[in-house]
Amino acid sequence: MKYSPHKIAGVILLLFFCLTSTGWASSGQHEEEKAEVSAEHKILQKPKVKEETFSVPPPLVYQGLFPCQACHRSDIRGVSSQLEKGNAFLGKYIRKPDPKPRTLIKMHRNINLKHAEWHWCLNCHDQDERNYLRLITGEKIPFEKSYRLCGQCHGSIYRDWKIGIHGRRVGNWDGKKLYLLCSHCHDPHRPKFRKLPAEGPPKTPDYGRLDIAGEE
Amino acid sequence: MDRRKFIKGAAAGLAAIALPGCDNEKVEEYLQKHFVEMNQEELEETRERLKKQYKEQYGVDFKLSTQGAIPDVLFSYGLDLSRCIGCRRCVYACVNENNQSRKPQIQWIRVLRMENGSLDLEKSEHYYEGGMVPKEGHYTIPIQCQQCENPPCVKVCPTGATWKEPDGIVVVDYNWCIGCRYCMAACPYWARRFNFTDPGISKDEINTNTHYLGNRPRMRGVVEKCTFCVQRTRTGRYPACVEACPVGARKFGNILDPESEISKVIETKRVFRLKSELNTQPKFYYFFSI
Repeated sequence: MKYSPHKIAGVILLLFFCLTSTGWASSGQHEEEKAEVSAEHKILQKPKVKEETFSVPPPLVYQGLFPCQACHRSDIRGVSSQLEKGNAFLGKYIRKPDPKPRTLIKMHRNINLKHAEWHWCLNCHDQDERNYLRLITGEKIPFEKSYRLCGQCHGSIYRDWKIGIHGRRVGNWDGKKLYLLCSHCHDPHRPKFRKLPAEGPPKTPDYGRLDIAGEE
Repeated sequence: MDRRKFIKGAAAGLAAIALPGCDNEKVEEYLQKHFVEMNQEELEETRERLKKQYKEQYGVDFKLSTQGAIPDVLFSYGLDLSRCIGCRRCVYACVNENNQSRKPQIQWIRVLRMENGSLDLEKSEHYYEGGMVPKEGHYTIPIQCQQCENPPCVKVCPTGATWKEPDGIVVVDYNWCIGCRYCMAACPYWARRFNFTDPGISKDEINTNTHYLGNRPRMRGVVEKCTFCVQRTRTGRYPACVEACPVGARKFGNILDPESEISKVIETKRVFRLKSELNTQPKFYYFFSI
């Protein structure tokens, strides 16, 4: 059977792609193995993009509940050392962090979580260091940078916010752009805005007749 | 007595009766030049005269500015229709800031409620009742003076009492307006309002930080409209409606500055303008962000 030049060229190209793609895949695996994987923090390779910073006013925090680590105590390295020491006083109040999604009963019952159907607390709050939030990569971010956390899912809003066109503009139009944190306007646990009562309608025209204008 | 002598005598007699009745201020007001032709001295005199007049009328001291346009500035406005819920807080913030008559009621901003899927302004509801907003199945478009680049109201004004300033704002000189309302007929956006009677505003409700071309107290028989809060924007502040909006639907800035938020809105969003087929070139850009 005679092979046409087109068929031969096609087969050669196919072989070429197979070889090179396996080459790429294997090189990727090597890179992942080389990445730093800390057993406690489990941070995957950090993104190479330079982080942008925005000067924002301090975040709103629940009164009396911050800093979280006053109760959710842990060592600097992460795992709670108080529990391991068997400290009876603290052991009464602190449980080992339970990663199972559930409705909280003992504490934080006043926080009504209604943010996407599948969320639960430790999706956003870091398990070991409760003073921080966590990104999906495992990276810990302080509350002052919570916009990075919101920006993970709400990317288009984050992009708009970065150039200054999302949300209420404060300050002056010819001044430096002032930014607010997401949580200054949106409650992170229950972000959907409630309905507002609208103000009254304009009066139907009375053409200057004061006898009608006086009526409500 | 022949006819000539009679006419001369009558004219002299009339003058003799009329002149002592006029006080100095009325004569000055009558002889006032057009705003754009006044030199600095005349502007000062006009300002002092008006401040005195307002003090007599309302009993409070006014601040009357005649500040001109900032160079290299062209104001533009952006409105996010996916965010606007129709709460009308912008309407009442404008009324408070700009000394609009409460009785009879004048509101420069009109919020229209439309059904989803339609952009026909003729089928909109102007007088929808209060209640909890946003209402399902509807969206709202607030309209005010669009500060057109090619304004039909300026074209038709017979006296030249309304003109377009270099920073893009279309202004009205209330002392020059004769109240013919030809501009109201010409405006396709229902932007202008007329004072059929003396404006009813009490001295507790009055905002004393005023501009000659903007929110100073008006008189009967003149046309008024949104001026992009000229007393605020020429000092760098946002208009009152932008600051009042609780959901951040309103964007304002200098379109000649590429870093301003209105320039970014126009670059990144699909903006449209109302009644663009009329070639009025309005400066109000509407968009849906979600």
